[in-house]
Amino acid sequence: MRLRFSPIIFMLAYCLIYIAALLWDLPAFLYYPLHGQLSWGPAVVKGLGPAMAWYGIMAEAALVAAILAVIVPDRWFANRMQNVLWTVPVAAMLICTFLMRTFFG
Amino acid sequence: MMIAVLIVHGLLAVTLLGAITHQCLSALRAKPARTLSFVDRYTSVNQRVFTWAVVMLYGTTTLSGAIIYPSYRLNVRVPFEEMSLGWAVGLFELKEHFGGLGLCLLPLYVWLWQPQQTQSHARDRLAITLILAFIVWWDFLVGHVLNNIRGLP
Repeated sequence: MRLRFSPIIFMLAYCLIYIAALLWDLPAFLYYPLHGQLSWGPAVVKGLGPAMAWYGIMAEAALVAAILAVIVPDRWFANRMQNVLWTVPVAAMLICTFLMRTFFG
Repeated sequence: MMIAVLIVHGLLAVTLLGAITHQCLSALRAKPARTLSFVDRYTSVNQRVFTWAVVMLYGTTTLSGAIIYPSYRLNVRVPFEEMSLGWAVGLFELKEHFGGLGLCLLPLYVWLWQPQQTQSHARDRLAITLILAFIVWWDFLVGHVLNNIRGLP
């Protein structure tokens, strides 16, 4: 069997996983810049200073999306979503903006 | 050290901004150039040649941004919160997430600019390029404004 990387599946899966991780606060790991330490999972370890989730969210989205991009056939998506693929990242960015609205209140 | 990386990050961002803007304006201008005006010359470039340059510049700009991000988290965001500048923190949060989402567009962006997809995915190609350009401009302007409010020490 010949494996082929699908950029369409990668983009779709990455956007969905990224938004899901942001929405339900589920990064694969947290980074604590004050001590330069990592902790697996979304639970914040007390006493290590501020935690950063961005690296964990990107890593899990990229890893899972890369696996799906290799194993999921993209013919159905390529045909059905022709010329509307761009709506997915736009929707993801709008959801991000909605989730960040508390900073501007 | 972080100041040096911040300067490299800014220079890479300027180069990326120029490349993606040039490609976008050229892609938006459907008509072939007829005169030798500056605008015609600017937009009559081969749009495909920018693709890999944009990918490499986006990747290296994001990488350098990821290196200085912990310094921002400790030395800039905490003072922002103490100064009640929630909007500034929010702008950076959007910069961070838009930048992260932009990464997943890069393989699709390369694929869409291949000659085989010229006819079948014309709208996707233009839209994904415009989205990347929006992300680059947003991240550049927000980074510039926040650095003016409080730069890295």
